[in-house]
Amino acid sequence: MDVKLFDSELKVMTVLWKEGDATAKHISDVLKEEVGWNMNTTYTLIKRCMKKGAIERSEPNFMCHALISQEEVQKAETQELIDKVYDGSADKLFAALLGRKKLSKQQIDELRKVVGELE
Amino acid sequence: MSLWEMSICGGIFITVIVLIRGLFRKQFPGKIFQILWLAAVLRLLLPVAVPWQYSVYSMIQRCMEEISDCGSSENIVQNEMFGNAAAETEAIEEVSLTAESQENDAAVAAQNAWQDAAAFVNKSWQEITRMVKEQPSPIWVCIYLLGAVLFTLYYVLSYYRWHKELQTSLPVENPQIQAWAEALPLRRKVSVRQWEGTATPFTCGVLRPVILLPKSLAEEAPRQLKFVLAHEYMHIRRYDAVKKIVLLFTCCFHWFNPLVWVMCILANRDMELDCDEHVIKYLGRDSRADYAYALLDMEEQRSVFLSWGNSFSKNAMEERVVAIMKGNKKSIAVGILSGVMTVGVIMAFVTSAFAMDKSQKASQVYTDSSETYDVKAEGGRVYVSKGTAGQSAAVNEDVEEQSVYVSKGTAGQSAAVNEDMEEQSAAVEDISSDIAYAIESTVEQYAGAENSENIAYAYDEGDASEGVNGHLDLGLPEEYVSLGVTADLHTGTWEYQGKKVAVFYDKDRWLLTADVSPKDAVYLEVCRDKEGKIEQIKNCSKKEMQNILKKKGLVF
Repeated sequence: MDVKLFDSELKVMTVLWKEGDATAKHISDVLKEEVGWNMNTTYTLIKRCMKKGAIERSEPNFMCHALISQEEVQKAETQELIDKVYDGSADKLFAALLGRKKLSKQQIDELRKVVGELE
Repeated sequence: MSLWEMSICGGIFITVIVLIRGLFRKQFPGKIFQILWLAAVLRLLLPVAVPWQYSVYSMIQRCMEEISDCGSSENIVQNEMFGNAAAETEAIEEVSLTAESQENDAAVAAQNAWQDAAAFVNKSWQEITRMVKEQPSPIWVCIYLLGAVLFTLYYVLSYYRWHKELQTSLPVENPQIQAWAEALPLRRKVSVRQWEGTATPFTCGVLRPVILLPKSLAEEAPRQLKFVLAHEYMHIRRYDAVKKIVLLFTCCFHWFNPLVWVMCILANRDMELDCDEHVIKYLGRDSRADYAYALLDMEEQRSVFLSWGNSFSKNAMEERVVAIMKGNKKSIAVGILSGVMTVGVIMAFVTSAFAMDKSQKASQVYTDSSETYDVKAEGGRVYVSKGTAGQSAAVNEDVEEQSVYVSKGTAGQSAAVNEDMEEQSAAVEDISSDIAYAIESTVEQYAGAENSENIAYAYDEGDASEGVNGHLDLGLPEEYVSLGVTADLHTGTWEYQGKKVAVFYDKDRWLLTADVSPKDAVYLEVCRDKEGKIEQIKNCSKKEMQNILKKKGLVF
């Protein structure tokens, strides 16, 4: 099984792996205690896990069941997360506006040299 | 002040700041630019005009008045009132030739050229002022509102989306970082969280600020961490998040003004530079190089967003790095100098024109919600001029003769009001406000008239006698002459069928009221057909005329 999960989604999965099947409400309570997420955040993450086929939900009470085991999970690479999930959503216009753009390796090295010279 | 005026004044101020920034960025403390940008934002957002005598706009206004004075000094009353530039030049030439025939031609030519230039500058200035003050058409208002709403919506939505994503961040487990956050000398509680969605650290939130660290930074806590946290702490302490929001709001508000976007970019850069300056102060000057390297390391880890335009980013980064490395301690002298300069620039550019009278003699200024009337007395006459250029009107009141002329400039249309003060038994001040009102309504009517002939009202006792045709010199239009109206050169009164004209009213074109004995006076109303051709001249009673003028909202 090739499911890539992010840290936040793994948090949700961890609860299920540790405690077995649980209601969405229960997961939310646990995570609120643990990492300070509010209900909506947890529900959003559960939904994302469902989309990826990592969680199955059944009635009643939004019972959640882990479809994949801890061993099967691969950690997603940060770079991919930014490119795909967030779609570079660092707000393209805003990024352009504030000049927050990636410099090339060469450009950064040039600037390092500048620092070295001024030191 | 209208949005348009705010945007223009703000734009001028931004240009000045950009110039100062270009010249003194390295010399002045970062705080100076924070203050200047704040002033620019206030100028752009607050619709209040703070009139000040020494404001740059007052200076310009005074300059323009000087120029127009120069044009009118040669026996020409209110140069700017003439719509017809050709007539004006002719008049100038005529005067120049007769009065200064002794002088050589070159001097005359030079003077003419100067006066032409003066008239031109003055006219363009008035044109600009008129354009600024003009009510925009509803289409433009709609386009503006649409743009403003779209920009605001865009930023609000992307903020909302980000906020939702940030909720999924996890608390940092590194106890060192937690301890650092708790020990911060701030009233607000700062939390530090890690988030996979970012490759560079950043802070968000104002009341409960959250520092978000990329995963690698939070987990491995490399040597850069100290600098990163110090940098973010400075942002929080200086409420930079609020500044950014205000800047973006200003952009949405003035989205049509490219200078405001320039301000947004530069102000954000200055915010970083100012922040760096404080970090160096906080960590000590020895850590400058390490701090600069840490910034570059962070830059290296950043995700690839868009590849275009990164030379701009490089310039910004280079600016920062060099500022960090080269930033010297600012001396007190530089501090004072920059402070004084800042105060001066703000005072000069944030204030607005002081509505002032050029002659300083018995002047009064009437301000209506949007228009200004200057009333000035000169040589026994009172001029009332409307502040907006194209619609300027002058009331020429001869205190001795108890008469008031109102003349209007656009396309040479003029109106003269000759007000009888004895009959009305009203004090000058009391009437004045009425006059202002009367002018306003008259002028509004004139603004609507498009097909009217060029009528230059150029009455002045001095050069009236020089003309070939007395009627023309009095500015009495041919149209009226053909109706049998004549004008008396010496008293300035009009006559019709051997009787003096008390009131002459031609809708949207001409209004004259004169001080003549009511017994043998006539009250004339010009009737026109749809195409503006004169049908007849109606001789009405005083009562009828009063009713007509009252209906028009003109005082009588």
